[in-house]
Amino acid sequence: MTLRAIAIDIEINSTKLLKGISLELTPGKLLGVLGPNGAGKSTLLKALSGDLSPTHGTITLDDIPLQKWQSINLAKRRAVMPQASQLVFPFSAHDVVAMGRWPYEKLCSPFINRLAVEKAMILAGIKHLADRPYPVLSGGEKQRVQLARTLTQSIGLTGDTETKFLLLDEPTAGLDIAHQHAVLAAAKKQCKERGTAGLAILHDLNQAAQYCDSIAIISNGTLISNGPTPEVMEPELLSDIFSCNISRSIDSTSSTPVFLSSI
Amino acid sequence: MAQALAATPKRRKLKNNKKPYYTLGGLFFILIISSIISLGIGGVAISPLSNIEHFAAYIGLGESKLELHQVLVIESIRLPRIVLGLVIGASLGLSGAVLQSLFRNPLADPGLIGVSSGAALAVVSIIVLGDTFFAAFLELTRNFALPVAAFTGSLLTTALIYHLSRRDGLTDVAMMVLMGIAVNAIVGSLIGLLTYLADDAELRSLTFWSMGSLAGAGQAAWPSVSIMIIASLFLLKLSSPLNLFLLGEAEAHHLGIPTERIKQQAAIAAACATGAAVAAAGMIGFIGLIAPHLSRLIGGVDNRFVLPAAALIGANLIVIADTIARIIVLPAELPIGLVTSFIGGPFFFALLFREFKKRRM
Repeated sequence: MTLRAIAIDIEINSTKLLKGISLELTPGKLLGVLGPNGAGKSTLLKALSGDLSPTHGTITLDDIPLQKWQSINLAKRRAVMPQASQLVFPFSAHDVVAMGRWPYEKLCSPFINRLAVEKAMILAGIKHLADRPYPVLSGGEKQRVQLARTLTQSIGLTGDTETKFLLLDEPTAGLDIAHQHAVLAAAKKQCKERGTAGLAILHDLNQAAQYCDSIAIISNGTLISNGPTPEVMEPELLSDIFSCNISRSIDSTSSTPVFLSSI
Repeated sequence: MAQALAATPKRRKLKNNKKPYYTLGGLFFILIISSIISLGIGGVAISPLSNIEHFAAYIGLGESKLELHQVLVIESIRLPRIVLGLVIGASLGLSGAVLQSLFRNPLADPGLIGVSSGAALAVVSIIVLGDTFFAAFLELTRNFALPVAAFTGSLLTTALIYHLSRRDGLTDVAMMVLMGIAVNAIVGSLIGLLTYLADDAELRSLTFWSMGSLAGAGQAAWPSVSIMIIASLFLLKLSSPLNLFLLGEAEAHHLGIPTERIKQQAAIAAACATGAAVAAAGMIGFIGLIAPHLSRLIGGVDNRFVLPAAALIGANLIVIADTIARIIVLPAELPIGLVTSFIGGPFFFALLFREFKKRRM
């Protein structure tokens, strides 16, 4: 019952984007993926979501290769939040979120679907945007609508026992600081309360340390380190990977680690 | 400002949820009314009431008061023509709506995937070079030569554009738009070349064909009509998946839509529907572009509403345009393509300006 990459290589136009990556998502936990620009984080996410098939190695869901899954059955198990969506037709924010219920549309009553949409909108904090047309929303509001759409997809049906997978591609990009926290908190809550296995590509080390249960560090297409957050996020390793000075101190009031960076 | 924003959602919600379905009913009602009125208008004028009486008599309600020549006019001239117009209008409107969703581009229309240019090239070839090069084809198809050529031409061009925009088993819709432009340009130049070679008589029949007419209604149009009906019913079924397509192709895939299959089905069905429409009535421009926009302006962007509404509006526009085409220069008649563009253009302008104003507020 897990989504697993087994020694995957991805090659596009004879450029190796990913080299021998093995990774597994754990139910109930949020995995943060860190790495410099162009390291292959989004490629990994595309591979895990089934958009790209690996050149070598396999990606399995419940030990069945992704390619053998029908797209509708796959949609009932994993939801993907894109970096940006180019919807130009003026659907209301509510309608966009409701599209996340498509895989279940005929499997349960409209009432359950509406409930799931409401729940996701509250979780993403966009209840007040429900009737606004999507194209006129600000970048940050659009991000949160997309998050709600993904959340409602991963809510599933009431009797679902299978683990859902939530893949977030830079969910905090373009958001103000309060909403960055709100989005990550929502993702974390979904993972904890529903046993969802989450993966989020992040850039902020402090947020990664604060919200992620485990961290995977990718650089140059290879997996450098993967494990529980406190163990992986060592200042020496991070400094090396991001080619800048990163130091860690412990905040006296909250006793959580704080990362400082400088060139 | 904040208060105003907070107050609006409730009212809007009510409107959003109920309105579209009433609107579909309303559109259907308008369509029936305009068809009945159109039946009565023309060289032989018949009042709408006696028309209703005449058809009600068939199911045992009342008696027809029409005279024999009037019955002939409405049953063997106007009725087939209106039916053909309804089917063509619905096909064009529907195909336009489907292609706009598929390409996520509000300016897409069936011409983009080569339907019109392909059909035009085939027809021009037959008209200009028919006797010399396609004698066997003419012999084989006889009266059906032009429709068959138009239909095959449009399907072949669409297939070519579709094939050109495929790489590694994936179709790139953005590429398809660009390939469509390139192919249309080349086909357009070939049409120009053949037009240049044509003599006066050929030129005349060519011009008439390219402006469209419903005068060909009758048994010869039946094959086209059945293709259009089947393809349209198929297109209607794509409305929900196409909604998700508007989010983006990757997103649609993540939500469980078999995107490659939907693209293929939509392209084939739209090409069949419009190809058959062109085959039956020549080129009738503008409906495929305007009908979906009108539906969105009156009922929102949800394809579950837009697709059926575009079909109804397309049918309505054709019936109205054909009525005008029939009567405006009596006893002759105007090509319907001229009327759709002449009336549709300004009408569209008005609606766009209205929308423009609303958005700025």
